[in-house]
Amino acid sequence: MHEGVDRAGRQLYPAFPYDHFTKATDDDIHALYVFLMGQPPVPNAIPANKLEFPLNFRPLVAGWKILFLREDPLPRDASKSPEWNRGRYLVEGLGHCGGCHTPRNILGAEEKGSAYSGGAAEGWQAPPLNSKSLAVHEWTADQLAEYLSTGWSRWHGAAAGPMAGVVNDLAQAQSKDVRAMATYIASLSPQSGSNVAAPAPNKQVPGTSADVIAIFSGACANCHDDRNDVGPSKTVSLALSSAVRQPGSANAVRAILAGIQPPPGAPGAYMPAFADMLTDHQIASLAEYVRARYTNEPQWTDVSQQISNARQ
Amino acid sequence: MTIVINVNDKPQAIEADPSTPLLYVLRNELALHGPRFGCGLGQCGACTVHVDGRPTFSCLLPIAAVGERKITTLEGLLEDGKPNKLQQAFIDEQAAQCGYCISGMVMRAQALLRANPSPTDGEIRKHMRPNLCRCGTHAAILRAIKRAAAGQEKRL
Amino acid sequence: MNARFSPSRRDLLRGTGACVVAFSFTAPVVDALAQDFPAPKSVALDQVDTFLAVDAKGMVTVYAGKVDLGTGVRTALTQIVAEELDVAMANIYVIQGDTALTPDQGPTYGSLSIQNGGVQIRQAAATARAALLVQAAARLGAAPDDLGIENGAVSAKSGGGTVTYAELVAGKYFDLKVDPAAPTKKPADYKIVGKPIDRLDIPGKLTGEFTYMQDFRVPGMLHGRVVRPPALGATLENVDESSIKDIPGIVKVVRDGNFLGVVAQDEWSAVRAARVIATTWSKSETLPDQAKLWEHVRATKILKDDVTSNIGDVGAAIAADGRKLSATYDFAIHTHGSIGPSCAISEFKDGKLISWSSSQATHNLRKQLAKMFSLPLDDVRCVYVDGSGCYGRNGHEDAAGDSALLAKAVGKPVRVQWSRADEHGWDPKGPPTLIDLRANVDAAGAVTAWESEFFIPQGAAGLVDLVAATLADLPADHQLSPGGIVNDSAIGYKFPNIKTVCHRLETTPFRPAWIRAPGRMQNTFANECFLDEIAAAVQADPLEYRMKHTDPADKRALDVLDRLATLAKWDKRPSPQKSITGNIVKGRGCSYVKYELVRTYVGTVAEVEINRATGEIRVPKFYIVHDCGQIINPIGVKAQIEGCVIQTISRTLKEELTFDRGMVTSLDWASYPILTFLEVPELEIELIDRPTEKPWGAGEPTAALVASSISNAVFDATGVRLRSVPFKPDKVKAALQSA
Repeated sequence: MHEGVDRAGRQLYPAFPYDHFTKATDDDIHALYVFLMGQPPVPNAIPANKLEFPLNFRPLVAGWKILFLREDPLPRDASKSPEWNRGRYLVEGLGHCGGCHTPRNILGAEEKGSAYSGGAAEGWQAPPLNSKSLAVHEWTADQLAEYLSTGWSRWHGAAAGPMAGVVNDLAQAQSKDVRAMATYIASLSPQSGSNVAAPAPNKQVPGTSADVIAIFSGACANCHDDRNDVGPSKTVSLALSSAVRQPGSANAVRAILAGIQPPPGAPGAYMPAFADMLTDHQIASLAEYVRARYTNEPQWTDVSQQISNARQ
Repeated sequence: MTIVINVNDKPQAIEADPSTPLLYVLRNELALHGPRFGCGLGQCGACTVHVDGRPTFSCLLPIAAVGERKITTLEGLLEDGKPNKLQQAFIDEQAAQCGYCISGMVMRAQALLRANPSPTDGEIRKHMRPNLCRCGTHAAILRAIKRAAAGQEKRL
Repeated sequence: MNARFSPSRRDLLRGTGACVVAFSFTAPVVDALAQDFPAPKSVALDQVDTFLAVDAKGMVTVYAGKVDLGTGVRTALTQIVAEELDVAMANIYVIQGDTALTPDQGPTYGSLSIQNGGVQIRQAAATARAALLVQAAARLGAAPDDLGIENGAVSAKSGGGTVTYAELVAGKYFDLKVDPAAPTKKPADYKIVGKPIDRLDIPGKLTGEFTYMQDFRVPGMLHGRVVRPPALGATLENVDESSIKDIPGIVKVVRDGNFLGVVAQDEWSAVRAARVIATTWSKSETLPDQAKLWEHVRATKILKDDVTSNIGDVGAAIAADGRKLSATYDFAIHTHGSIGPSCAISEFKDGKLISWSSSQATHNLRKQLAKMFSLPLDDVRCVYVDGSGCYGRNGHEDAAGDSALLAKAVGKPVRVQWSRADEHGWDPKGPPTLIDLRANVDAAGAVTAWESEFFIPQGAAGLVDLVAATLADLPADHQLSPGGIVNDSAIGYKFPNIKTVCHRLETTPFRPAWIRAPGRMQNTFANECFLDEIAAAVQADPLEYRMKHTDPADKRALDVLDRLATLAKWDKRPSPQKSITGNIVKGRGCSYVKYELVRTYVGTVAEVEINRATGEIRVPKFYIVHDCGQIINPIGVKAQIEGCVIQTISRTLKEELTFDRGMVTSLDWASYPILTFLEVPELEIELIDRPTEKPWGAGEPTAALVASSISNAVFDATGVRLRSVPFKPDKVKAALQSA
């Protein structure tokens, strides 16, 4: 956990994010160990790695570590509250949020100086959490706390893709810890209280085919209805939707294809999956229509590619 | 505006707003009452039809989006006007209380049995999960699907 | 012959072929009947003609006030009449729930359709049979004892001639009073009743030919949608009709006080218009804080106390020496959650109103609509058309009120279909129930005193105000009708001192009405769990404890409990089980009730698995033993039992209305999840058929036991008691952690 080596002393690939876990205290690591060892064992054959040369040469990782692994613990910042410090410990350490939300360099390490400027995970975009955030309403600590523990915020949307798993787990964490994480993450962006201007509702998008407008009206508008702040099934306004505001279309496309599920067996936000209902061409047109109508951002150029990625 | 869609193997010329969800067209313009309105949100499955054989919520599929794809409703499963094997299995198991969800259940189950003629109990439950029943007919529906899969002749 | 009914209606039924149309479930049945508005008729419940008619072809029409809500009652009533009259089922047709044609047998609720409705119809049929035999004897010159009947044809067993019912009745009415002493067929001779006859309506439901209310069409009808306030009590301040100018085919925007609706030529236009119409409403916050619901219930003003049982001297007994136990139970607000949202069509013709809906009580609805529109009762006709299951008083009647208001405004028939949000938001709710229980147990483990207090709203099972009348401020009865919710507050166990008191509260957060086993479910939950708490405290096996305290003279009760032990392979030992280790723990729990203390006996056992880390409860298996006396159709009874269990497991584990200070917030299935296929248990049902006993109800009793069987099983598995429905994972975890 601290050094990124296995019990035989071999290098571990940083796909296991020990560059974050190294910040965890010995006590926490010990507690994790006790918990894991208390689980009933199961037979499991570990599949062999499929890495190409030179990446399959483990000792190279030592070099990577010299460049990118900082094993020193996080020092307390006395100028900040205990809650902030606790949040930083969790976010930078076991939470390893930067593992998705920070861009990576060519060697696969998080880019120093670009912490929380946005990254990727499993085909989805992990939005920026710092001043580069594209949200209409700035993420406050309250909004983050709600989002992290419920998977939904009326100002931003629902957690989907890999983030859905994260918030399902955080629902089980102590709320004061979730709150602490929210406090820390909120501090990453300016908190100036100013919002991005959203386009006028019912903005016309010249050149949109009648078919696309009809499809939007029949398939989407029942929930994504501009009249209400929050629509049926906890639908968030498309003008506020984080997915719609990202520089790439991956999140919007994946949400349209696979929908959004509430946490298993519990109430929550829901969006139907349109993968089998609409063709790729229809989804691409819809995605571009939504981008043009609900934002003043440049149109996406990657929609067809993202649809094809998601369909794999 | 006229849109032509293929329903139960017949092309149908529909005069309706292109944004009209398929469900309303099937029920009103074509008087096919198999698919039903349950929520209009894609959450209950009462409106389930087949689009090129795949179970789909017709409440969220505007007719402008249908194109050349083939739509099948409960009525389209009949063989010479008689219940097909799965529909008959439901009748034999008396798998309906109010029956409102049943068309959706049959459409969903039919797609499973075409792809997997001998599903396990777990596979059936997982496949049927998107369809809701409020009367609590689930146990009978599972029996009906298994009966159709097994091709049994007499009542369990 | 007294022509009690107008000739036009009778002819309609018999002569014009409408009868033949009516035989096919699959045709839009009531077209022919629909457009005629018959002269008023009396439907006295002591007359055979009220219930039965035989036409010139020998077809028997049954007029039932009780309606088939998806329960199979239509088939069961057909079986009863077929049996008593010896007529083939195919020659019998049931007309149900039409206020112009069918008697008021009371609403279809309370598991009374067969018990009351079927028994009434049976007696009418028996009276008719006896009279027909007398006539046949005269006609054939034979003794009545010598006669046999086969499919409506009477012949002397000793030979010589046959005469049919059609020939005997010859187009006339019976004009007979129902004879309570007319002999009914002996159960030993039954050929149809008690047999697993397939339901008459199911095939049409599998082929798409069956006509539900949602499929029903009236010529010239328009489509209406309602636009409800965003909060209870909000007033409509402004409507901007220009906001829907681009939607084709809009006929009218109807505004009446706080009632708002849109009428259009086609359905999709109505849906879109209701969705986008721009409105402004006042702010309104009339609801309590959901997080403090139980404080609110406890603090609500009590109008009166109903003492539902008072045996011995509880005051003294509860204070005496002994081991004292006490507990508080609560049961959340639930919605009916009908899978097909409510739908109705209304039409005003020459100032008279006809309204088609799936109301379980069309005679009551008729009174309400007459009042709402200030019409004489005779000028209103309400017709039942099968809808999706309602489980009580849901939005069906309200949709009728909405459609009537819109029909009046546009002068054409209007069909109103509620949206999912309308249904979840505006149907009446099962009110919150709070229960305190106390007991005193002596050194020998016997209960010396049992005392309980129920905090429940005032009112009984009466009229529930129509939403349209409330919003448009039109005449209504303004009473609270939560249902007969004091039932089963009293217990059937034999303790020396028992006092059960229902505190009738002045108000309750939402418009209340009855949902399956209303009151009986909540009250039995508390009673059967608290009894289990006592059994655990005295280290007694819970099933044996129940047997021990049941009246030994009640053989049927003991039989149910006995068979339950066998069916469930009951492991006789006190709770909790001894191996409470690891993440997954298992347990079993039982409950028992003699429904309302006077009828159907049910015993149930739940097997559960708890994941102690996540708080999730799984119910892999459920056992039921059921004695409802004479069974008319065992398939029907089994279906009801399965429905009771599966639906109530959903209510017990998952369901809870959510609301903010203004309005319901659980407006769809994502926010009010119900049980899915993944969570449905295996069920084992043992039916006890007692053909010589009265036929009792089966639609609800089993439902009353599910929550307590599960809670008792959870206690058995974990040693922790769940006293608050629903048993959601975070509640379970909190209970496990505080143990």
